[in-house]
Amino acid sequence: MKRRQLLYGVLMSVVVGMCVPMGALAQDDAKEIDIKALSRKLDTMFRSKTTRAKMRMEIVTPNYERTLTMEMLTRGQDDALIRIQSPRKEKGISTLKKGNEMWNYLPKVKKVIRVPPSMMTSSWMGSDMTNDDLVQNSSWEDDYDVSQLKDVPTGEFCLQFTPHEDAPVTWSKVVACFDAKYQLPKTQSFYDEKGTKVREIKMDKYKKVDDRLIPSRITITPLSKDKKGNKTTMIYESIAFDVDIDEAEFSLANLRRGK
Amino acid sequence: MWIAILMGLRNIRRRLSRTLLTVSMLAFGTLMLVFVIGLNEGTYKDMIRMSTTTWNGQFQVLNQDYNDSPSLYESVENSDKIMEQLRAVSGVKAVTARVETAGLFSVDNRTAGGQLTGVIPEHEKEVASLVGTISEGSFLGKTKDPEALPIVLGDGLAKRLKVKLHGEVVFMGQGADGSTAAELYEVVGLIDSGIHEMDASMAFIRLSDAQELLVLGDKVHRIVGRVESERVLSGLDAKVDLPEGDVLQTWEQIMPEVSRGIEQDREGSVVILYIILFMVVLGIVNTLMMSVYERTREFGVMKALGTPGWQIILVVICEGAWLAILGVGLGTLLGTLLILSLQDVGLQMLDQPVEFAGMQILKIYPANTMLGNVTYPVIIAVSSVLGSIWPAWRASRLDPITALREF
Repeated sequence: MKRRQLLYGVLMSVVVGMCVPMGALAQDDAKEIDIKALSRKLDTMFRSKTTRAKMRMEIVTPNYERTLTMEMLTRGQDDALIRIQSPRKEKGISTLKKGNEMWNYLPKVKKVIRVPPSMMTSSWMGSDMTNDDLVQNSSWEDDYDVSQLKDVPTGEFCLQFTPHEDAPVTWSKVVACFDAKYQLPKTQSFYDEKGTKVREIKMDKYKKVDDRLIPSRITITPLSKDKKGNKTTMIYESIAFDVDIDEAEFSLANLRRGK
Repeated sequence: MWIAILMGLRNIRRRLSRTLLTVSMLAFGTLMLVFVIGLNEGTYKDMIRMSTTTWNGQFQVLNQDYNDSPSLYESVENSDKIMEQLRAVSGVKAVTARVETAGLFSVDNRTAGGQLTGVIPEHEKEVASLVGTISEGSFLGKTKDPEALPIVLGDGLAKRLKVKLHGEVVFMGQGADGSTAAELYEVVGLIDSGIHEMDASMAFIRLSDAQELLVLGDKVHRIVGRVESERVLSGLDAKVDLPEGDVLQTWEQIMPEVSRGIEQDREGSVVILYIILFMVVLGIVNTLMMSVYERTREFGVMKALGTPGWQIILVVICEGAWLAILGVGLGTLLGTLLILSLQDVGLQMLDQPVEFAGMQILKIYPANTMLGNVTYPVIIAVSSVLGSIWPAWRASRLDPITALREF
């Protein structure tokens, strides 16, 4: 009898001992989420001094389905270079983004095309990602007012981003929900000027890369009527942070050479 | 009855100068109406002509959803067969097919968004007069570089891209399979249609080049045609075998803004009819009233001799009818002749060209129509006759004794 009681006592203390700190932790999370840090995370999750990533993009529309694979190099927040590796027909098509400017290189005609500001909201390579998504001209941290939303599912917390008046965005608000445990984004909902939800981005398959936890799968679903049945999934097959990348990679001259 | 008609004619001859005055007033009013309506209808005709002949054609075959939401995929299959069927219909003058897409045009560091249209040059010439507004070069003729693909640009687009004849232009868009559609072209012609929006954004390549670029197979987006006269359009869709989902639309459906604008304007012009109607009827009533008062004794005698009231009414109405027929007839005749003499040379009425649905109108070419030359004059004549009922009724109600005592 005594032994059993003892066992119970030990078990109880173990259970309680485990529960208390976890509960305290969870409470801390809910109370003191660092809004600034989370906004910054949205901006810098996939960015570093430099990154080199291999990605797969799966595009589904009512009219076609296709998969692109590509290599993406980034430097800081401003520069990015994407090279399509397959399918064969489009191999070598490249997109260079420097600051607020963007160019496409078309190997078939060996020409570089500048993407004008007016085309920033149009689709990139027939996907549901816009040129603007790719270029990321706006910053979650700097261009939005952020407030925390209440009444959200347990295990999540949600932030509402309202763009500053002069922010280079077309949304009226964006709601981003984070996984409380991993402090990583789960969903982002985009609303147009009329307040209608027009796009949803889901992020999952969290992966640990170089001490960083990142979502390795991003699914974009446009909700507007004319884009019914469309879906684009981006999968990070690999990503390396702070790798050595030649300066010249991000030059227009290099792009023009089709390298 | 005959007597009444002849008496009417005799009576209006009794006061020739007054009759002439009334007739000329009627004639002038009718002339004005006929001419104004003629000008209006002429303008409408011009609008329709311009909006159909420059680019849109009088009819099109397209997917039923294409006009509302143009997309690469709302296409027409078996276009060759449909065109063959359409060409076999008598009264169909020309038929062509087009493929349309939007994308980026680029020259060096300059990029401009625009509309790329794939056309069949030899048929497009017969359908769209726009082709004739080539200001430099040819419409998809030979390229300097035998390997290059030809493109024709609107001169506004060319200016935006700063490209000259035989310069290189890259187009980048999206193919039907989702792939990036990119091609290099040599500018072989520039178009100056005068329609600003088109010149600033349109470019043309060969249909087969466009179908290959956009991975469309043999699909097209529009089959566009011209007919000899409007009459051919009715029932045309029954004469072709269209695939499920495709429709044949006439210019009224393709350009509802044009037909709606015309309809509204036409409704507005009814006001002119009312004003002239009012003027003319007042004139007739006035003339007949005077004539009846003058002839009080005469009517008194007729009544005393036992002429029934309805005969007196008939006599006076016949007078009015004669006036109306002469006046309205003369006015219509003059108006018709005036329009005939002007319908080809046109009338320069405006200092500044008026813009309508992207078209410029500088001269007005009046036109004779059923409405302006028949319907409206008949309404005036009939109203005049109706207007003469009142004086006629007054004359028939005269008491012979009092009437005979006058003077």
